[in-house]
Amino acid sequence: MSLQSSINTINQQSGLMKQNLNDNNLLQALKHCLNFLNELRINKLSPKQYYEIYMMVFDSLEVLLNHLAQTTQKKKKKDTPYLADLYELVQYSGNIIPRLYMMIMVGTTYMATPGAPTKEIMKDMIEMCRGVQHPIRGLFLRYYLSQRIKDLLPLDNEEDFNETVHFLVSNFIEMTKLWVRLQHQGHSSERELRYKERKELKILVGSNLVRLSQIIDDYQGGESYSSINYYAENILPTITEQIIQCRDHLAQSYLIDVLIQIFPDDFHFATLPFLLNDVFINLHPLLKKSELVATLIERFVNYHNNEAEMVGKLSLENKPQVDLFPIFWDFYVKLHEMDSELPIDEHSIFLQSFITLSLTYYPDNYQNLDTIYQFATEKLATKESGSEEQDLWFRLLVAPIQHFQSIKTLFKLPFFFEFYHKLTSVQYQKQLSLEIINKLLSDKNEQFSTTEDIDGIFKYLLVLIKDPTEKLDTAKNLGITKTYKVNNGEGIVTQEFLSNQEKICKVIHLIETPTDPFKNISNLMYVRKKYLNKEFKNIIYTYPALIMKILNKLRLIGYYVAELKKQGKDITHQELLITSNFKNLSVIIDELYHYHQEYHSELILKIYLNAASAADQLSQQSLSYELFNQCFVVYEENLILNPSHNNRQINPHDSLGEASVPYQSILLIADKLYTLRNFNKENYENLITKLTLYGSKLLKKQDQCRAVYFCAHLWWWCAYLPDEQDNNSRENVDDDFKRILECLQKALRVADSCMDPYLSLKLFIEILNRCLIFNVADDEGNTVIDAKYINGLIDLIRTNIDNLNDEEDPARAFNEEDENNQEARLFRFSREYFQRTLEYIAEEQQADVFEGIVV
Amino acid sequence: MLTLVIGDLFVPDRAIGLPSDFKKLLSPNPSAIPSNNKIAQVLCLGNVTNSIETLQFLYNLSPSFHMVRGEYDDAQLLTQQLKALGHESPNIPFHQVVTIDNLKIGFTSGYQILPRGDDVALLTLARELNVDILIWGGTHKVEAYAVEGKFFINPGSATGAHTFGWADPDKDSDDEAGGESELDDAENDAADAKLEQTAGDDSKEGEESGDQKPQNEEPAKAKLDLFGEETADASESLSGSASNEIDLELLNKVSESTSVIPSFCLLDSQGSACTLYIYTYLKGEVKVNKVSIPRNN
Repeated sequence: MSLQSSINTINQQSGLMKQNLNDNNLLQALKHCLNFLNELRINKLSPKQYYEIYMMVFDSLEVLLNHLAQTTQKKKKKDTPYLADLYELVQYSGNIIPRLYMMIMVGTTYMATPGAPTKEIMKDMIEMCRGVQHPIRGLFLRYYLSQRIKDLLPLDNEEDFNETVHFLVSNFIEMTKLWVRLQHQGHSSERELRYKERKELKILVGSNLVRLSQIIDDYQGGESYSSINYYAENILPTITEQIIQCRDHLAQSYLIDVLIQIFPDDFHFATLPFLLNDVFINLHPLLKKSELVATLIERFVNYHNNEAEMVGKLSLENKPQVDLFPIFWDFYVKLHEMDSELPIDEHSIFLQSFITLSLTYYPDNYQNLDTIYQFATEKLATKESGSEEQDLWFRLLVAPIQHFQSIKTLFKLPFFFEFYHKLTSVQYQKQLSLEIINKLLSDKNEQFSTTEDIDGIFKYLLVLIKDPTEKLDTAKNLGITKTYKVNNGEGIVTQEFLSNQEKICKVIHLIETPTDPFKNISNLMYVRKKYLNKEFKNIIYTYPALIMKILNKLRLIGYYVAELKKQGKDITHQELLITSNFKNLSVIIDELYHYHQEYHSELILKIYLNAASAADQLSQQSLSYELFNQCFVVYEENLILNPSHNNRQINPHDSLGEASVPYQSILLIADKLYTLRNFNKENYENLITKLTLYGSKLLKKQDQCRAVYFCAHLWWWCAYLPDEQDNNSRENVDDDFKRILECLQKALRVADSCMDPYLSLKLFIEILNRCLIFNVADDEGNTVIDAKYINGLIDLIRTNIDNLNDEEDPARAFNEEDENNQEARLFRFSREYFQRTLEYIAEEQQADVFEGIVV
Repeated sequence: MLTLVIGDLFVPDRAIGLPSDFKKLLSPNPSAIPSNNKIAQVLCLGNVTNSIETLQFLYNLSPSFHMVRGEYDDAQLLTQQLKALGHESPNIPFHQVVTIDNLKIGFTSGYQILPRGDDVALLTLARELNVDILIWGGTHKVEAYAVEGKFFINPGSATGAHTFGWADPDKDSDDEAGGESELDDAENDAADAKLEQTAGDDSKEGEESGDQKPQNEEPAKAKLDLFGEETADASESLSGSASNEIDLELLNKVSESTSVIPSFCLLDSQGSACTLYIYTYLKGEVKVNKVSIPRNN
């Protein structure tokens, strides 16, 4: 209510004033002006409401003021005392508030006229303002003074400048006092309210500092004048003394913040030690100095970044050469000594800022960072820490990672790891390790070639390597976390786990020593021994990558040594190394087999096979032979009776489809046996005889048939391997050719014994196609499978087709549309396949191949 | 219509990932799905091994993703992962036949073809499947040739994953020269190779690969022998320990000849006409070779 009545009064009185001014009745106007100014004496308004009427009064005063200025100009020089008289006159008003507003209004107008006693008026006004000690009224009055005078302050010479500064500083001091005093007004139960009100008024006080900063910027000064020095000697100590002495939490945090924001960066560079050690340290004990420091550092960092942008455009020779970090650090250590109870989140903000500062200003100096982590490890992480602290520690650790040029920077920070180790939460450890890996993998060309480097990185990976898999919690049960079944559906892993293991494998690939593959291998072995085998359950995810990599390096060495041998060099030493490395490698595969044979024998078989094949390429026949034997062990122990562990439908007609595990395994072994070149005939025969035998013992007819006809290829290859005496007699070759024929015969018999006539037919045609591959003449014109045999097979197939045609219900058999008729479809497919085969033969015969075959 | 043919990635078992230039080329718009609006379908020959990230990359490239099982793929896991990505029929067979325009294309990872990579065995399979084009993998060696009116494509390994087959640089380059030079388009100015616009300066139109490769090989060999002799002399004077020292130049040569060059293929089909673009990544550059596939009756 009282606000509204004040507003009404002001509106009314200000209207009357304007009328009087139009009538040129100045005295009457002044009277109305005093009337509305009287409203500013009101007591019951909140700062916000007071501000509202202040603004109305301000606007009305502007009208009067403009009128005065205009009339002064009209009256010209003769009448200059007009304003001086007026200035005297208004001082006779009864109440102090209207009187002082009036005085300031006329006084500042007077100051603007040429030849006015500017400095006297300034002094006069600031003195008079002391008369108002009521906080809100005093603050607004002084704010009015400061607003009115801002463009009129004299800066012509040093003396003017000094007085102006004095004027602003003393206004600032008085306003601060008023502002602080406001806190202690009224009932103590209203403290919170007071605090809130004061917050709303803070800008009034801060504006003085803004003005100070502006005039320092505006003042040109003489030759010996330096704005930085002036600030450091005259302004900063006075202001900060006031700030410290007020012992007020709000005033200190707000005013220091304004101080940091409002004065130029180079001022802060120059006065940093004073600011930290003489000001910050003496502030209110409960004040969060960390936030002030953070603000300050943020300024420095922005300055640095802007400067970096400007380089090239401008040469910044006067760039401040201040070694910032030690100044901040000394302050921080001192503070910690004084107050060991500093809350943890403040420490965190401090350290976070220091990390940013160090990374910006000292990108190559890791000592600073290490100092930070050392402090954190020794002083902070000693106590029991809850999850909140863990989160803060984590953020301290994660802060620099993305800034590093290379992840190897971490290796230079021993205390980073110490501090990382203090993270008791595995979740945070994992998260941090992932940050490190992701950073590592996003950089190109990072390589680890020494055990120090490997330790450097893998000690952070250990937490992921040891990550347990089989924890099924509610989130996984409910499908919130994405999971996958593994181990035949008996185990379960999360997507996150798999992707972490994937990343570990990728890091393994970064272990490279391009100049020394032997060293490279020993590094890889080192990783396995010291890190990867720390959790045997997980080695199935990482060992394959490791083994393949070692094997690849061994293979490289082998080819390299073979070249050396061609140059006639002594390679005994290298060959020994190759052999011993192969043995070490097979120990690793054995370990994998030992722990994971139950579910992963197929994969391990493939790994053994690759090793065996590589050993052959390196002319390590006996090693290769042993490895193949190991393959047979895996086959017999785990694969031969392995039921097809996927529930997919097996289609026996499909020669390249889902099939039983033992059949697949035989195919895999055959595939590798076919590539061998450095075996002697006897050894090779041993292996392929065994495999052919396994093939002929498979349970399913189609598996048996196909396995055996595939094994025929091995005998073909065998025919060209030298025997122990290194000769390749005709007799031996003929023997092997006979075996091929035997294999195909066996396949035919098996095919014939199928209960399903359509399957028999399909297998016959497959065998026919195999026979065509073997119908190629060797050097001496002998063919393994001759035309006569093939003609017989073609006849057999025709007979079978005819028989099936007879049996077939003609109405259904030739209904091509009827795709639901499985048998008819298979039959049709077989006939077409046969037809294509015959066409192929006929076509080839035009090029004199397949002579004697009757189509 | 563009079909991407890609396989044998082996992430993370044998490689960290696709070369970043390939990634940029294949997926110009990584945040969108599909991330490449030119490719109509992806045929993946398997051996992604154990990387959901890579699988997702391939899956998101085009509206249609077909995959066959590779030797090292864990079918159980892969099925679940594809299902998680939203694949409608996440079963992964050993071979598939798709019809693209008027072409019947069969593709398989190739490890069940015995002898592996043998052209007669492949021909037999193509006959059985009754396809015009047979795509196979498992050898990490790019090949493209025509036999008996059928076309055979091996896109190689997209990540350059190593393989444990025999490394015979001489034999290999002969094979490729023989196989490809008949087919290679004489015109090399087909600068509009399909993905090129997006590749920017990174990719260069390759030379006719069949002719170029042996040339590259030859001087390298000569040099190798030359230096070999010199170092042999030097090492003799350095007494017995010399055998432990490593001849870096030789090592580099060997390592180059045993390593695999990352590659994939892009099939551009229009009706029954078809052009194959072979992308390889060699010494930090993407190269493209164009091969016309003869019209099939």
